[in-house]
This record gives sequence, structure tokens and C-alpha cells, in this order.
Amino acid sequence: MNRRKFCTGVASTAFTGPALLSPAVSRGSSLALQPGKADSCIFIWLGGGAAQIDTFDPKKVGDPKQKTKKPGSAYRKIETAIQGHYLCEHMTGLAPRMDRGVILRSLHHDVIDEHAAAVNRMHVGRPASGTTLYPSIGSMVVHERPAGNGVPGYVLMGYPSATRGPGFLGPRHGYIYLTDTSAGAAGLRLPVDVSSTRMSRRNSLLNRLGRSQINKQPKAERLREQMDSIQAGLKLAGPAFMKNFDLSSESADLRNAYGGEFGQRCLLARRLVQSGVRFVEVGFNLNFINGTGWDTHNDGQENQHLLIQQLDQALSTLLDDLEKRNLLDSTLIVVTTEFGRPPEFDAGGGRGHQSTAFSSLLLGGGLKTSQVIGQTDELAKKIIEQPVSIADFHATIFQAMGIDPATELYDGDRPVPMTDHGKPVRQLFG
Amino acid sequence: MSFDLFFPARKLKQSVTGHRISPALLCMVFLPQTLSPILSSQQPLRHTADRARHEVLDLTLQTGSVFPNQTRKKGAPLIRDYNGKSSGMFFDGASCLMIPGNPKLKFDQGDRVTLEAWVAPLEMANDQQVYILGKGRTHNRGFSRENQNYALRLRGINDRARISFLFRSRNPKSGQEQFHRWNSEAGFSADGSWHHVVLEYEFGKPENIAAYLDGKKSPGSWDMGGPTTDPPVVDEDELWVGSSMAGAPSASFVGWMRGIRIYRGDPGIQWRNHARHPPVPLPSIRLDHSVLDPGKVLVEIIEKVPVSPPPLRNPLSPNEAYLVDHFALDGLPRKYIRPGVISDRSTAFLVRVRTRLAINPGQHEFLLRAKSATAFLLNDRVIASLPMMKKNSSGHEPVPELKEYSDATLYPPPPGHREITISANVEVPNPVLTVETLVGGKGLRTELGELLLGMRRSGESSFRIVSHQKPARSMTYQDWYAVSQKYRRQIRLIEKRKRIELAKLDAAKWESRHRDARLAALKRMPDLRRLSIDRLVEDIHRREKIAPAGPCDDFAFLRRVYLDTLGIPPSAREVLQFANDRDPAKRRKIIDRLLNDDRYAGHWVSYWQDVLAENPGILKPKLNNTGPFRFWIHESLLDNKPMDRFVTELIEMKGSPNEGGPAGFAQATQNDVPFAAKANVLCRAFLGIDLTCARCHDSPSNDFRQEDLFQLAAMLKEKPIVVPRTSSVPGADKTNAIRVTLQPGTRVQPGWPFEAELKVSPSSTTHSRSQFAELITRPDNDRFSRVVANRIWTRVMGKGLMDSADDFLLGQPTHPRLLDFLANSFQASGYNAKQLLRQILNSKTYQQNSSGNSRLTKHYAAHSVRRMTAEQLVDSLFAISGKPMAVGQISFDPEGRRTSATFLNLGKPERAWELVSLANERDRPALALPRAQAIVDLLTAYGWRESRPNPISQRDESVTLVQPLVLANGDASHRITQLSDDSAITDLALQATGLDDCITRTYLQILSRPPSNEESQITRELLSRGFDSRKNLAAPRNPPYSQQFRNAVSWSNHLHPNATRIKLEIEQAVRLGDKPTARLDPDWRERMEDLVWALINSPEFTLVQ
Repeated sequence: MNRRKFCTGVASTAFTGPALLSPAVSRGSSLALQPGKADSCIFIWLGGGAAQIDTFDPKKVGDPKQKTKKPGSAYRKIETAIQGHYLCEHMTGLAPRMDRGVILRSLHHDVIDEHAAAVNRMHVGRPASGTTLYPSIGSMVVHERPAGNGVPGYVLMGYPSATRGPGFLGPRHGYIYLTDTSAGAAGLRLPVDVSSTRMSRRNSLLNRLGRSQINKQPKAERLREQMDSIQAGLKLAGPAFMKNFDLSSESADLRNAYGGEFGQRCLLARRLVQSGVRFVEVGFNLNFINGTGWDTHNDGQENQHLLIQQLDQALSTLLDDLEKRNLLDSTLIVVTTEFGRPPEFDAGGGRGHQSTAFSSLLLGGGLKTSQVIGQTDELAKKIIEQPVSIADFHATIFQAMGIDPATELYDGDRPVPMTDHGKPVRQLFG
Repeated sequence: MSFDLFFPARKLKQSVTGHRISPALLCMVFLPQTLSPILSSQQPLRHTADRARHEVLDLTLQTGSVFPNQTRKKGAPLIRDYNGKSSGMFFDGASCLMIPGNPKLKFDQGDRVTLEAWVAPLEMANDQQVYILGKGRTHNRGFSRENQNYALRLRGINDRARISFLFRSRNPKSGQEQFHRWNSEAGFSADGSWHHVVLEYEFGKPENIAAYLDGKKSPGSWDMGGPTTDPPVVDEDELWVGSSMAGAPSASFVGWMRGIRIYRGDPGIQWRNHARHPPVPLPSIRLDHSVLDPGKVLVEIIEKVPVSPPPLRNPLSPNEAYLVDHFALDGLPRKYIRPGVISDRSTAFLVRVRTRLAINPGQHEFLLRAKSATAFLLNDRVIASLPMMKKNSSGHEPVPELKEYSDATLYPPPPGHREITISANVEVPNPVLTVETLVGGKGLRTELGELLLGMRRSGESSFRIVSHQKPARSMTYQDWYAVSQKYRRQIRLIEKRKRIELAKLDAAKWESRHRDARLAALKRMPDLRRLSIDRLVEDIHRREKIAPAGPCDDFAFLRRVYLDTLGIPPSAREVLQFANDRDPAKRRKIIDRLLNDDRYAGHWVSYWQDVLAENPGILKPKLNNTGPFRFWIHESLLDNKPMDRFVTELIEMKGSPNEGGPAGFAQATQNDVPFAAKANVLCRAFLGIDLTCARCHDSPSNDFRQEDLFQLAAMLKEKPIVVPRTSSVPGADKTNAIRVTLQPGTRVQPGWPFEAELKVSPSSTTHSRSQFAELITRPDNDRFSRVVANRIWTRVMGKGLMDSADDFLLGQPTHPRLLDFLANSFQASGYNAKQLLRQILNSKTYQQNSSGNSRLTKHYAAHSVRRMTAEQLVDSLFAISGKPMAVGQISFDPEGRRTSATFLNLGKPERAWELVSLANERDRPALALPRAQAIVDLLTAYGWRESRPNPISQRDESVTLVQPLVLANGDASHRITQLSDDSAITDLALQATGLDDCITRTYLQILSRPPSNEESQITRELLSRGFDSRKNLAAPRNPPYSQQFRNAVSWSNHLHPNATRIKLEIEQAVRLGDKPTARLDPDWRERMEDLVWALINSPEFTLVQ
């Protein structure tokens, strides 16, 4: 018997922190939970590390201008549709709509010193082991639930990276990316000097010349395979799918309601989801808005409210838009980031990094919404109730998408579970 | 009371030799070996009685005083007063100052001595003890050799120079003598910066000892001899400054000193006041210009120079020197250390460039470009300078505007460079022009950048690069590009020569190893010489009753062999030449030529990047990243380093960690047992033993336990390793088939677990790394030659002899005799990879037709069809278009204002292997590198790994939807299809003698074969209209693609809104790609471009058949 079959895959399980932070969410088997109903996921990435205390977990107001730099929130808080829970004052759109969502206030991990490692942790769900390259959450989702024919499973709006890539699952489970909604996706958009007429001329020339290559070597299987994949690929670049990128077909009112470039990305995400794309990561770190994006060291803090307002506007519109189209229950919106930020202010009036407690949102997706999971202390520094590890966070997303988080993936012949013992947050499922 | 003493300074006979000048360099240029005179024959020694409380001897080593006003004020330029008087005395390690014995210098029982000095040492090895001053122990005739009355020394401990006091006692009763040594705890780095040192001692009272470093009291302790109340030895011997023991090199000081004072009694001085104002080391040394070659520009590199303030006319002999044609340097040759691996230079070093230029007196203008502290000297007089570069980590600086020049012949300097124009009156003909620039410094990368001196003679309209060459080069982008390309070629030759010189030092050892290897191989396979690949393969075919596919034609052979050696297809011209060659030995000849082509290294390097998990990160590397030891791999392939030597260098992990040496292999950021990961890489790569599982648990597929891997890891670490908590599997219990046998916290000693498996056991080598390397590469360990031979065979045949190249314990070889033969031939050749390749490529087996039939390919009755690797695809695209890749510098900090530990600079790639993941994980548009990203997109789609945390030998070759898309529509291949003025296909279309010639050449250029009739027909239909009128040769040529991308965005300014704007503009420009040539009719050109597009997207193009 091949002993490899027994190989088990938790390559390396990092030390997860003091006993308080051990996964205490749901002790039972996830199988006992109802599988989720979501068919697609819009994964909104607040790159740089969004400050929970200035957004989803507001606390008493501090003051960066004071000499003592009094720790606390930068903004006042406002009531939400979830009784007794608050958001920051710049989330006037989301606050009344929070009955469609869940605030997760007790995420934590142990990487703070460098963005790359933390971004990686949030995307692959575990520490890098050096023995393999782990797949990102988007790639795992499309591996388990591939998209239909003629539609890519995974689209990334942001800059490409291995962290967001398919890892050992292989390039078939990778993404198509775009960095700008007006430019279209790399590989899909036509070169600037190639009109669609010229492209169809090229395609027919390629078909004829390709066929004559096959005629020349009728036995060469690989040529035929290659030709098939070329045709399938080019079909994806054809009008049927490409029309999704044309935001001008939406009403001007709706486009305005979504707001700036980030809003347009959310609108495009909705269109992609509608067309059958399984997983869309929407990056939101347009650093020219406040200089630093969500990585609000020093001066970056000063105009952070502009980022929050754009986020609020786009998310509120996205919620309404999906709801109107009856897509909210089947679309899970995740709003997350690599880590949070401390209540204290730095010398420049901004904030450093904090991974011991930070927040995310889960909206729609058929979850039991209108809930807050976890609680932090009076300065959002320490978790005092229901910590949620990154493995649990991933398990929750998988569960919501009807995927068993205990599923084993294969790196060659080595099994690797989708999460390292992650347990979905129980209260969110029926 | 005060009086002067006069004393002679003598040059010591014994000299410190050899270590400053790299032997590799001696062959290239004659260097001035003698040092300039370092002091005048007579020096004053002032002796003053200070306020009656104590006496002081002031050895003022140079005239002039401490310059209290020369300490740097904030914002003041660092370089000042180039012509200032020397304020220190330089010791070159071979000279010292000798002061005749006199009563004032003697200190006896009960005397209190205080020794004070300013020192700026340039060198200090650990355990070295260097004399600042010492009374006695001169080895002068007539004195005891050990007569140390007192000595102030520096002692190297943990890379710091500590203050050390030494004297010899004599017991009054027994007459027994003994040394007593005391060392301070505080120390400093011997980098040429000034430090103030003081040592106080009262003879007879060992508790009354104190040291002050830079005014701060440092604790310390007696070591050798311990404390004593015995009196010191006292005699009439001399006091020496800067050396001892007849000038023993290890005791001799290298660097500057001044302000040496000896006090008797209590000086009553607040040392921090004395330590406040460091002197400025500006030795007045005249450079020897007689070494200048009349037609050349001399470049000298001087290491270990002080940073603050930057040195000028540094008197140390250069560590390296070479001659170039132009006063324009694009980087520097790498430094190498034995055994020929890339090494770092000191954190700061001086580059001096000079030439004697044949110009007439008159008013001339000069234009100087450099990055950091720089001085421009005309006949040794400083006439201009540039300030020191400042390190930066904030990202909030404004983006400097690119200078607009009224003179159209000037191109803008790259980020971080500064420029100055100087109008100078040249008074005498043929002046010497010298530029000295400081490279590196604390917090900066040690990069020269582009150093350039231009000149506009009176009456001339534009600047030209200073040179003796005709015709002169202007300062346009094109001319600079041509000069820098030539310079870089020259640098590569210099580097190669340096590596070969260093490698020769160990040649004898390796020759004898290879003799043993050959004997061992012949013993293992006595009929080795009579066998051949083809004979063994024919045996297989007979046995399997299989009919081979037959020999392939010249076209298929040529394309295949080019792609397997150089990683690119042949050009149309090369195909024609080969096809028309009637020489029956032409295949053998082309194989030899290709194996000797340097582009071979650019193809094979990517294979080893995968196998050895080379994984550099260009921004604060934190994801299991290694250093970029790709450059060492590439050079090893360029030099065709024998594979046993390759493995040994890799395992010894010497050289530069961040700039390309094998030390980069040692790194694995944020991996808590990096050496466990490395041991696994090495075992898979060279022993075919897969220990991946053993990182966390015993391997379920073989007999290896966790402990085995950790023993090997400890061998690499050269000390025991404690198993961390992460190396375990929580929840591994009865339900699992895996076992965790090493509990976290266990201490594992170095050890060799493969005695049973490989039948070789450790000999007694002291260093366990060398031992590890030896165990892998020993001639009696045939596993090594089997694993490597199978790797090379697999890569060119497309089908391996084992189930897994990484795991020889899995299954049996498909053809054992063939594997034996390849392994033994490889070993007998001295582990020569090219020799093995030559054998394979020349075989009929390799030169067969290809087939998709797996029964045929399994038994090597047909060649396997392979898809191009991602790197082959990208390199092939650029090769057929003839365009340079031109993706610019791969760094987020092109200015070089952070160290290479934070930001790597991987240079300007010319081939695919040089690329790297461009993810900044911050999603900041200002950090995008759009030109390179276009290539990375294509590479990634075709299975190149952006991140290589783990070793692999076989990539995922699955067919995806994205592959044809990125090839069809991506920005990289878009450039290939564009017929711009620098495209080889444009030239081909312009030069074609007729339509059929044009079509045939296009097919040859892209698919390495002529078109079939059907293909000719289709193509003729496409291109015949307007063919005859396609040319418009009068049209001007467009500038090349790369020219439009110069910009000043760097990490220091990437958070500024302008940085984002500039990068978005560049993204747009990259989408536009190349400007089309105007020399072809636009309508016809577009159709020709469509043909190029269709052929590179056609199924045949990406296959190696």
C-alpha cells in the first residue's frame, strides 16, 4: 500500500496565542450547521489595515492633537439598526442598513510588523510554512465551486500578487485582474490599437493558420489541445462576457450613487457576480484620497474620514442594488483588512498596527444578520468575548458559500485542509 | 614649562601585504603599490606641565588643531574644505611613529598614567589587538622582547573595537614577569569614523582603572594575567605609535590618529568635553597620476572609507581598479570572494575615476552627474561637489520634477541622481580630471548608479561624454544607452576574470576530487567507455519491441536544440544558414556553439531557481524569502562550474546575502527553522530524498523521521537546533497515520542520518557545512550523480527516468542501465553539466521525431512534446522581435535610500529569469512597475512561480483560459506584434526581396520552419495587397520604447499624489506600447502585424516538438 495516502496535511500550525484566544466559537462539528446559501462572494479589501476603532468598533473619542495624544476613536459614534451597537459617524448609509449584516469585532492574528505577511495571512488563512505555497481564499472557493462555462471564476480588482493567487492549486484557479475599472481586465481588454474589427480579422487568420498547422501534423494531439484552449480563451474575450465591463450601460443615477473609483469597482463587482463570477476581490486602497490609504500612519489619519465616507457610500449602494435585484441572499459581501490599528496615536497623529483585535463586516449572503460577533475592551485593544481566528473567519466564509471548511485539498498527493481546524461562527447559520 | 622634542619616524621593514589588493586585479592594470609618504621626517612633541597638577605629553601628530568649528551643523553640506589642511595622521599598517625613550615617558609603581587619543581605524579583525601606542615591546635590540611598560590598544571583539590596556609586571621577590590585560565593555565599529578613547591606570592599584569611549565611562575587566599589585617593567626603550613588535602586521594600526596625549597624575579633565569635537580626517595626499593610461579612464574602488565626512584622495591603495573608454559608469563590477562568489563591499566605499584629457587651456564647461557625496577635481583642485544622499523611509517627499533641458542632446538623470554644471578655466593643457564619489553609507544601498562626466569645450554647442574615443558620444539617451551597454559588457568580462582567478585557488583540490570521481565511476561501470546513450536506448527498443519515431528534420532539430540550450528559437538567418549547411557534422558543431553561448546560462538558471526555491522579495521580504542568489546560479552556469563545486558553494552559503551571493540561500524570512527548509531543499535537489513531511512529523511515505531533518538542519546551522512549536501537528493522534516523534523544545545535534541509505559516512571535517557538502558530492556517493544526471536528462528529454526527480525512494528507474550510464558519464566528466548535455544532444535519441504517444516517449522511441516554459515563452517572444525587454529597474527604491535588506534592487532584466514578484501588498498604484508587470502577467499565466517558498522540479503545466488571453491581448506580447523601428520583423519586412521571401522569413523567424503550401497561400492572400508599395524609407525613425519611461518616482516620494499620477500615465504608455514605424505603409503594416500576432498565438508556437 502506498503510505503517501496517509499523509496528512496540517503543514505547520502556528501558535495561536494565549488560552483566551483559542478558538472558542463553536465547538461542535461544522457539519451540524446548515450549509450556507451564497453562490458568490464580493470580498472587499481595505488594504493597509483599516482602524477598527475609527470604523466598525467605535469607542470613546480620543484626540491626536492633544499633547498627551489621548487614545480613542477619531470620530463620534452613531446608532445602527442593530440595537445597542454603533458605527462611526461617517457611516451614515451603512448604520441604518446593518440589519442586513454582521459586525465581526474579534478577529485576531499574530502578524503585525509587515503588511505582506499579514495580507498573506488574511488571504491564505495560515502562516507561511515554506513547504508549499498555499492558495488564497478566492482560489479555494473557485476550486470547490467552479464558475460556469465562458465565465472566469475569480476576478481581482487590484494589483496582482502570489498572496491572492492559486498556490498549489495551480494556475487554473487563478484570477483575472484589473487595476482600473475604465481600462478593463488585463488579457481581456484589447490592445489600444486593435479595434474589434481588426481583432475578428486576427481571429479568423489565427483559425485558418492554426488549422493548417494541425493539417500539417494530423497526429499531434498537443496541437489540437492547444488550439481548443486558444479558442475557448478568446471566446472569453468576446462580447458575451466583455459587456459586463461596460459600466456605461448602467444608469447615470446608479453610477453616481456608487461614487468614485471604489464605488465603480463595487458596481462592476455586482455585474460580474450577476454574470456568474464566483469570487470578486475588490481592492480599496486608493492612496491619493488621503495619502496613505488605510495605512494611516502620521498624516494619513487626517483625511481618513474621506475613505470611510466613500466606503459607506459604495457599500450602502451595493446593498440596495443587490437587494433590488434579489441577489443579496446569494451574494456574500465580506469587508476585511490585514489588521486593525491601536487606539493610541503616533507622533504624527496617525496610528500604528494592531493585529490582536480588529473588525470585519459580513453582509447579505443568506446569513443570520443583524448581529454583532465578539466584543473588545473599552479601547478596542483586547478581545473580551468570542475571539474569531483567521481560520474561523475563513471557515465562516466557506460555510456561507456551502463549502465544508474541513474539505481537504491536494498539493500533489499531500492533503491540506482548507482551514487549519477553522470553525464557522455558529450564530450566523441556521 | 614646555619644551619640544624631535624624533625620527622610520618606515618599518616588515610590511602588511596582500590583503588590500585583490589578486584578480593585478592582471588588469598596474597599480601604484607604494603608499604616499605619510609624514614629514620631523614631528614636534610638545611637553607641557598643566596647571601643576599633572604633566602632559602631547604628541601632536600634524600641525593644526582640532577643528571645533568643523563639526557638522544640521543642513550643512558634508563635504567641505577639500583643500583643508590635514588634521590627522594616517597609518597604513606598515608604518609607525617611534619616539625615543626619555624619562618623561616612563611610568612606575604608584604612578598614574592617562592615555588619550582620537582614532579612526579602518580595519579591525576579531581577536586582533592593534596598537594605538605602546612603551616598550618594540623588539629593539638590547631590550627584552616583552618589556611592555604600558600600551593602549584596540581589541576586536564581536566586530567592535574595544579599548584595551596592556602592561607587563615583574614580581619584586621572584622576578617573575607576566602580562596583564584589561578590556573595556564598550566598543565601536572600525569604519573610519573618529572616536575618542581614554584609559587611566594607577600602577599598583588595579582597581584604579577606567576607560572612556567618546567621553563616556565604560566598565571593563581584567582578563589575561588578571589584576596585579606588582610594579610594571620600566626601561629606556622607545614608545611607538601605531605598531609594536617590530611592526607585526596584526599589531599595526590602519587608519587615522591625532591628539595623542599622555598625562601623569590626575588630569582632572571632563572627558566628555574633550570628546565633543571630532577632528576631520582629510589627509593631504597627492595622487600619483603617472599610472594613468593616456587613452583610457581609470576607475578605482577603495573600500572601508569613513562615511562622515566623506574622504577625499584616500591614501589607501585601491582594492580594485580597471580601465574604461568613457567617463560614464553604469554601476560597478561585483566584488567576489573565494571561491569566486558574489560578496558585499564595505557599507561605504569610494569610487575614484580619473583621466588625463587632451584639451587646450581655456574656459570649458563640465556636467557632472552622481548620486551621493561627490567631488570633481581639476588637476587635484576641487572645483565642484555634490552633497551626500540622505536615507529615507517616509515616502512623503515631493516627486522631483524631471529637468527640462534647453539642450535637446541631454537626457534626464535617473531617480536619486544629482547634477551640476561647472564652468572652469583650464590653465594648463592636458589636465587630469578626477571624480571621487562615495557609494553607500549608513542606511543606504551600496549602488553607484550612473556616474557621468560630460564636457562642452569652449565654442561647442552641446555636452559630450568625456572620453578619448572617436567619435565622441553625445549625452542623448541613445548614446548613453550605447555607452552603457558596452560598459556593462566590459563589466561582465571583468567579473568573469575575477571569478576565474579566485576559482583557480582551489583548482588543485577539485582536480584531485574529479580524478577520484572518474575512477569511482569507472569502477562502478567498467564498460562505461564502450557504451552510449543510443546503444542503451536501442537495447530498450529491442526489448520492448518498439519501432522508434525516426530522426527529426533540421528545422525541428534546430528549434528544439536552441530552446533546450539558450531558451530561445533561432533567428530566420540562423535557420537558413543551418539548413543550407552541407557539413555532415553541422549538428555537432551547432551544439558546441550553443553550449558555449552565454545565453545558455539565462535559460538554465530558471530551472535551478525552482529546484532550489530561490525566492527573493523586493520589499521588506517577509514571506519565507531568500536572498537573490539567482545571480550566483547564473554565474555558476556562465562558468560551467562543476556540479559538485556548485553544491559545495551553495551549502557553504558565503558571500553577499542580499546582492546575489550563495549566502542568500541561507535566508528564509519568518521561518523559524530556516535550515530545516534548506536541508529539505538540498536533499530533494541533490540526493533525491524528500523530507518535506519531516518538517512537522515523521514521513509517512519513507523511513525518515523528523529528527533526521533536524539533524541535517543542525549541520547547516553548525550548532544544535531546538525544535519549535510550529514544527508539530496539533491533533495528530491515533486517528491519523502520522506520527510526531520530536517534541517541541527538543535539542537536536548535528548529524548525518543517511549512512544506511547512501552508504557514506562523515569524515572528520571540522565544519559541519563542509561536511554536509562533502557527503553529498563524494565520489563514492553515486546518488548525487544519479539525481543530477536525471534532472538534466529530464529537462531536455521531457520525460524522466524516475517517477519523481525529487524522490528516488519512490518507485524504480524506468531504465536502470541508462540511468547508470548517464550518472557515471556525468561523474566521470567531473560533474560537468555541459558535457552531459553535449552527450545527450548529440544522441540519435534526442534527435528523434516527437510524439504524443506515451508508450513511445516512455521508452525514448520518440521525443516528448513539451510546452514552452513561461521563461522560454517570454524570452522567445523578445528574441523573435529582436527588441530589448526594457522593463527598467526592478526596485521600489531606485534611488537606493534604504539598505538592500529592506529593498532589493534586482537590476534591469534582459531575460525572464531576472524578474520577480512585483506585489507590494499595499495596492499602491505609485508602487506599480507597469512595464515589468506586463511580463510578469505573461510569466505567471504560463506557470512561472511568483513566489517560490518551496522547491519544485516539475511545474504545473495545466492549460488555462488565461494563457491564450494574456498572450493574445496582454501588454507584453502586444509589443512583440508591433512593428516599430527597433523590431527585427520590421527589418525583415523591409529587406524581403519579394512576397514569398517575406513570408518564408517570417515563418522561419517565428516558427523556425518554412511555411507549407497551404500556409503560404493564406499568408499571400493577406499580404499581397500593397506589398510592392509597402516601403517608405525616407520616413524618420522613432525613438525606442524605453526612452519615454524615465521618471523620478521612488519609495521616498511614492505617497505623494504626483507619484500616483506619474505611474498611471506610465500604465497608459505601457498599454500603448511601441510607436509603429513610419517606414512601412500603415495599412500593409497592420496586416503584417496581424500575421505576427496569429503566428505567436498559433498552437505550434508555444510547443517544443
